[in-house]
Amino acid sequence: MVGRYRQSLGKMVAIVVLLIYVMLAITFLINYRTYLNRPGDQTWDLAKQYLLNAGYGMEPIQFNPDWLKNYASDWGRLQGFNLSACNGCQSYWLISMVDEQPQKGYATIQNSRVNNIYVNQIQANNAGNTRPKNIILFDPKITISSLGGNISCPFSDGTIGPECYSEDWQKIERMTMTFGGDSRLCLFVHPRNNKNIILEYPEVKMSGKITFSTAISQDMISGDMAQVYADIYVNGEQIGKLSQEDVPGWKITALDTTKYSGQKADVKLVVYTNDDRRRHYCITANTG
Amino acid sequence: MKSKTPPQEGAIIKTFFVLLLITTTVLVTYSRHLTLHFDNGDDAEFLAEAQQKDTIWKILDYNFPSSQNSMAQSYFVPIQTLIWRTLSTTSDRNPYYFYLFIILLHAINAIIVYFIAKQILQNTLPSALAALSFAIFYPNYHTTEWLGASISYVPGSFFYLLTLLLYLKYTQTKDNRWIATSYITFFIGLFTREIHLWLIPIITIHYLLFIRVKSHLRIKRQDLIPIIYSVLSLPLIYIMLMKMSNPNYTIRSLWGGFNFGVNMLYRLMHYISYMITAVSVGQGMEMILAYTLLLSIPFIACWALRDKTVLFLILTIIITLSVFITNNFRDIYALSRHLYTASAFWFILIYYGYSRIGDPRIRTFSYSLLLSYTVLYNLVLIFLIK
Repeated sequence: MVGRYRQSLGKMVAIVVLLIYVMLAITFLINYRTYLNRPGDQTWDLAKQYLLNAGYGMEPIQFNPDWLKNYASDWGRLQGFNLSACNGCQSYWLISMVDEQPQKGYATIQNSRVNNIYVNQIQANNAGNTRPKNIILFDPKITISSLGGNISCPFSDGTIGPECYSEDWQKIERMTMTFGGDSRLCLFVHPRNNKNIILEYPEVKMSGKITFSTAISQDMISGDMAQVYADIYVNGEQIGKLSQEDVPGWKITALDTTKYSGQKADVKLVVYTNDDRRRHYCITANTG
Repeated sequence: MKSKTPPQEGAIIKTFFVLLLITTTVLVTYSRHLTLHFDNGDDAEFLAEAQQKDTIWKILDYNFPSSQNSMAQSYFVPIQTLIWRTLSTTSDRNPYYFYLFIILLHAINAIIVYFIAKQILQNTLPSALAALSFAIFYPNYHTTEWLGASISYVPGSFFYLLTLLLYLKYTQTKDNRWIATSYITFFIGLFTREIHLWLIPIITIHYLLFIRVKSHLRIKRQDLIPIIYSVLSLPLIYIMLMKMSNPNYTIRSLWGGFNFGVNMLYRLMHYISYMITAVSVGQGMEMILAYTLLLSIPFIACWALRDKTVLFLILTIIITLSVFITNNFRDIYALSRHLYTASAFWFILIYYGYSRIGDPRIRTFSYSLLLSYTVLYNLVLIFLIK
């Protein structure tokens, strides 16, 4: 009697184990398919470019499924981007493999499909339309101007080509600069003696102001070095001049652009200095 | 595992011919590598690193402030640096000699695989075929094309496989000289590639399955065998922890760190699929393969529970691959080097399966099928697709 009971109990356990295995196997196969579809190098590059062009301003980036984050951070792909969790944040980006609705209280304000992934910007409903539009992180048209003439520097993948710099410090590139925990993605533009570096951003959608954040790398500050200047033009008209002193931290300068509000305008920055020693200058701006 | 078979007449000649076949095949198949050059990425970095470390003390100094910023200083691999240094200084940086060294060492690895297979299969022909399959496995062909990877994986696997072979020899003969030599190769191997640590669970599993069969808890003197391997690894573990506490440690700062989670299972499945197909086969085929593997798992598990050798080989493959599923999330088809060591056990496993077939007709059919899959298929890939 006990033997028969044990035998049928054994069969039941075997059936249950088998059923659990089948369920796990089906779940595994569904997720494995998602895994096989995961974005490749080219898609990550495009997603990164999209984020920058769409005005990424260090908002947290979330992933669905979560493990996509592992790929996003591998090989420095999204290095410098904010991959931390969004805890009650007003705005964040979601990179996902399925187009999904945002959680309650949030709305999608920008969405795009980049190859096989979705890159959406999600904003809290109570945040209002305050999304800053980062303009410096676009791919600018760069010209290095001097008495000897102008050199045009193609800018792609966040940097200029080797034909436009002979030493590393002359390389114009996107990077992250941090002061006291305040990390910003900015364009590293080291001014050069007797030369103007011209950055042009065509057809920027304008609001009532442009807010610039500028800084000099912490380890290059001694307190008595030259200032870095940037003349700002909108549609050819100079609207202001930024000056960055030899002090640590981000300097925020807002310039009034109400005249161009709601329009598309060409924005030009001319960066220069009187003495280029140790002037590791970084600049970013948004039209919010 | 079966006990040692009595020596047969002509066994030495048979072994000689097998070794000749393996070596000749490797030399002929891989000779194309001899015309390759250094790449400007990792190869250049390793060469520069080897040039900087011009004394043995600099090579052994795990805190040496290298000017290299990625691969070369991520790991503590003094034996690799020594190989780069020795080859650079003796060959005047001629890539020909680097590739020649790798090809010869790969042939030696294939020979070690043959002897390991012989220990497990107790049969010359399937052991030779397992070793030959390892030698011409298409992903291994790719691995040896790139010096940055091959000077890491080929010598690393040499010590890995040799340590295991010497340990298996000890279990067969109980001659302490084998185990002493195994400890030495294990210790040296640790400084060739840190994944050598994974031999500890593999040897422990073998020890528990085949040596310490009775499960009473009383500690015996022979229990020291796996413990000594663990003790020998302590210096490397210390160095690794020291390196990882450094914020500039590349694995953490650039490669996204070690990532643990359910996707490790997908990576494992993907590596196993890659090991089976040897090439990228597209998503549909990958899904079919995953489906077939999942269906087979209950049957394979039953087989493994009945046959300890199968259990040991499967666990060895999983352990050897599992070290690569926690980090480095690039496309695995660009990571064929991670299959290098595991592929040895994969071919031993399939030829072990073949050697267990009793029916002569099925045996003959399986033999031709296996030959086509493990030898012809890879030769076609190497000579026609490449």
